[in-house]
Amino acid sequence: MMKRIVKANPTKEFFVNMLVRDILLKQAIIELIDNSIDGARSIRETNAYKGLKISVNFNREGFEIEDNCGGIPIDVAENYAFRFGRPQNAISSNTETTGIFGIGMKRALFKIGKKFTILSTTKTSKFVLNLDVKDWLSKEEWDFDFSSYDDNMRNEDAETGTKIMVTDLNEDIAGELKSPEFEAELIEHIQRRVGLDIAYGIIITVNGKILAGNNISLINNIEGIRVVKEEYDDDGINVQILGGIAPREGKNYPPEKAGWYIYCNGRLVVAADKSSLTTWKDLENKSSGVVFHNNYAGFRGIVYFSSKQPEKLPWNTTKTGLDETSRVYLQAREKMLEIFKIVKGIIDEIKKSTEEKDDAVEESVAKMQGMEMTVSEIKKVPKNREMTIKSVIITTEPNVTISYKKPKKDADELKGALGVKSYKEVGEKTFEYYKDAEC
Amino acid sequence: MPGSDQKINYQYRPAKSIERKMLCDLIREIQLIRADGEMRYIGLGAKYFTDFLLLHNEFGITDMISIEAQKERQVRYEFNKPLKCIQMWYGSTNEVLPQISGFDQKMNLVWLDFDDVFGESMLYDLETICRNIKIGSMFFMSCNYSYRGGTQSEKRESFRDCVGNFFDEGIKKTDYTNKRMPYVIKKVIDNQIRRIIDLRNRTERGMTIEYMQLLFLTYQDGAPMMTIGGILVDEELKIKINQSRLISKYIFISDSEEVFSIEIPNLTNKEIQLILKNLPISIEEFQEHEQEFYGIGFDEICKFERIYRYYPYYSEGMFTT
Repeated sequence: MMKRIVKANPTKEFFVNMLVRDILLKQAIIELIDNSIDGARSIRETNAYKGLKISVNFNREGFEIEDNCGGIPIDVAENYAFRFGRPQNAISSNTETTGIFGIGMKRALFKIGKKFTILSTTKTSKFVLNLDVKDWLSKEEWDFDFSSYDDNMRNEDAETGTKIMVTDLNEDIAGELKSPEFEAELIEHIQRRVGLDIAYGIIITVNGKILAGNNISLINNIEGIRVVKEEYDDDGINVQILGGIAPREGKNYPPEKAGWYIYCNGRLVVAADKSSLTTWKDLENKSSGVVFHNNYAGFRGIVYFSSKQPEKLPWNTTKTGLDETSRVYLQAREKMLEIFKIVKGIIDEIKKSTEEKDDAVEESVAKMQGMEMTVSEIKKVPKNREMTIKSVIITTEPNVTISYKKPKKDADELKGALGVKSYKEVGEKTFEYYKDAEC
Repeated sequence: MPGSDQKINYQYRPAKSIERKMLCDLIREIQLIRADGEMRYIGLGAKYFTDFLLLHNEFGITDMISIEAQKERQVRYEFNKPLKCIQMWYGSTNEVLPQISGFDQKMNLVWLDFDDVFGESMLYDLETICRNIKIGSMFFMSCNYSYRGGTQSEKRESFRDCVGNFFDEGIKKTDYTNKRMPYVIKKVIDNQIRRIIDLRNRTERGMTIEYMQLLFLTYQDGAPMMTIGGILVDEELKIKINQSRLISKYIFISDSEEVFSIEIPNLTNKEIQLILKNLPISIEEFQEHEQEFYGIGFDEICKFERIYRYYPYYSEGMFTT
């Protein structure tokens, strides 16, 4: 009798049609950019990225990304780069890469279109790979064929790099790629997500536009408003946790920028978090912290995880969030909670000082300059747990708020007489008038 | 506890004085068990620094931090600070405790001796302490446990207001009585400590920490007060403490639900001398010689016996360094 078995092998459709649902287009593009940055990391271990470039170009017909970041070695292409999932025997690159799960690039390409061509040149090899997804789906075979390859070459540095072209775009993707709003959103996303690498000198362009890194700035001065920092090693992962106050932008701290920013090997995976994922109280978790409100709009926290074994980092497979239950993250979160208490204490104290005395401390802090927290700056910040407003040097003329109630009829009359629009202005003008006349 | 030191001079609160000395006995025993040296003390010195002086004199602790909420009265505190080795940190305990570092450098003894009614902010302090201190370090917290309200429902609501999200719905309504409030508070504190310790055990590698309660006592110095706390142990230290029979050696030590109540009978010096001369005494011996006690009750003798080693034998004109 034939032995009956339970099938559990994967289908190609699962990879082509299902897994792509977990990722947005802009995240798919970031995956491809990340691959290029990983290339940069492997050829420039000291992160001196000057001269390296990644260009992303797209329109409704097609998408392409091209870099000069070293190229994909032919044996890596043969054995790892296109495998679904990372084989157990994959050699660790021993650099702080973001490529790890063995799904990112394929998922990204399947998300975008149905036909792709990959050209890659390293110092010693070169290959071209063409794939028509429809053809591939119709075959039993999983492997891809090289269209051409060459090894034992001697290529110049300038010739190395990878170019990926995607055509026959998926219908909804073509719609997104032609919209100028998407381009703006993508640029914003890249500037934030890989801002630290841009700060290292890699040039990223989107449809010809050169991107600027968008990183967190924190006030770190000897006058007491310092960055609180804790650093430790945990099972091959270096963890740096920073908390502090951002420089004020104009008249206020934009609340949408407040919160925690969490990086794994330079890649921002969580931005401006104000939920119980980090240190805030919300519907999900009430056991610690406070509910976010605008008083804390100046708060910024940074968690920087780095490891040469990226599989140990607490990110999810789309690298757009955290594996919240990972031991490494839970331990970091306990420390984040304590750092948050310190910064919260200072923010509360500044506010109290304004309410009880005047706005001198608040305004002097608001005028302080921030420091862009690039990787090298993060590393430079010394360990510290102390923050105080005691030594803040007052650089502004203090203001106080005067408030009083007066009959509406009288106030309206004065509003008319003074030619102003608000009661606040009535108060200010009458004050100025008295001071000018009598003092 | 802003301002509490203006209302009362801690030196003359007898129950507090007894408690402090009991704590010293406990620390001495733990030090012997741990057999290690240096210790840091973190406390709330107020203006009198009584606990600081005692711990410095008894154990030679020279690394001491006093947290003082009243920033505006700094000059006054600096003037009153009796020892150079006391570092003053200004701010509320919620603000200051997370800023203190070096918990891994030496054993820590933290005593947050509040006068206030137990509430949410104290639980945040406990959270910080439990996250930071290492195995062998001790922490204690004293607080007031009188809550507004005549009925149990009213007390329950005023307790809920004080502890906010830490309120434990599982605590029976019938527990909200003046007498049972220490148990209610202990439950909420235990929940908080367990939560933090569990997380530490999940996340810190190669470690199993346990909290061992050592004190659970109540006393009245005007207001109903309680003190609770203990030590963080690993398996090894736990075995050592159990082998030392510490818990049975001192009646005031409690590792359970059993509360030790410091009760001070009203006795004159002559009565005290008489009792001391006759301790220990059984009920039979007392009954046989009852006329020799001039009307002092056996219950008063028993109460006194529980605390006589720690009793503040004041005479007028007290002066400390």
